[in-house]
Amino acid sequence: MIKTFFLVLLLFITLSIVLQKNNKILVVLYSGFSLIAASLYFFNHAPDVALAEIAVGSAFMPLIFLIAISKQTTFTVMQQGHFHMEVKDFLYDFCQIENLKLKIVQSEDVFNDEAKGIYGVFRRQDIDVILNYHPKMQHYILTCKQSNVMTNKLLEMSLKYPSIKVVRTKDIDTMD
Amino acid sequence: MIDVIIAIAVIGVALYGIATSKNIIKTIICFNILQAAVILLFIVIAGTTGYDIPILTSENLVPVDPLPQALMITAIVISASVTALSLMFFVKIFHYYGTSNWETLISKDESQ
Repeated sequence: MIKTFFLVLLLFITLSIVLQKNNKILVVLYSGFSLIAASLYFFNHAPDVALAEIAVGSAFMPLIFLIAISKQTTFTVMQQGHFHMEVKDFLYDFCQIENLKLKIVQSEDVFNDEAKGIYGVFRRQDIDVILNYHPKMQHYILTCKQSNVMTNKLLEMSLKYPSIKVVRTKDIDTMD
Repeated sequence: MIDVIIAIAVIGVALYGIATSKNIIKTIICFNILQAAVILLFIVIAGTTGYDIPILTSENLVPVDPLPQALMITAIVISASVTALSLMFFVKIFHYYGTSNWETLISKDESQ
């Protein structure tokens, strides 16, 4: 009787995962799916498999899924030299519109002795934008990857600001 | 009998999710569900060969076949490592193309 109940629950939770659109709810539902599957293994005389499924499926898997989802929502900017309020407001507005979390890192922290050039930064540190200041022309330069979807949105938004220029780089140099 | 039917139904729903989902994370989760359903099918069919767990505490027991269970523990561990690898590729793809949608990804790839 209780076995049939768990079987029907398994089918329903699978349907709810297929119909769900929010990533975080998906991970929690998958954790519940693993627990129900583990109890079904136990009812079918396989307690060792149930133990492995509980340890891997409902503890380890949601952890790595949550790490991957948190990587998805951060927008990393590497700054070089001066950093004034105007461009900071611009970046905050962009992240507000696109639902991203802004993370600013200093170039001194990124460049250690193994860094050879500016293009290697994209490959090693997963940086989305490099920000620096051109003193003679008096505008800020945002260097982005051409392949990235965010670059076009950033370019459209920067047309309103005369002191901000968006530069797109080729991607061939950044690929391994 | 109902266990086998529901395990096959879960396999079908997971295949539907793999085929139709646009989110990369959801595709990886559907792969995991497919694997768990296949394991459930093996365990259910092996569970019909006896009445007790395969630990011999007395001589009157009728244990189930332990070989499919031993194979399925290996399958669980392999699926965990496959998931970690595919999530690593997902993070790389996201930082390169800036999207987690299959359709945007494919159209972006063709335009270059």
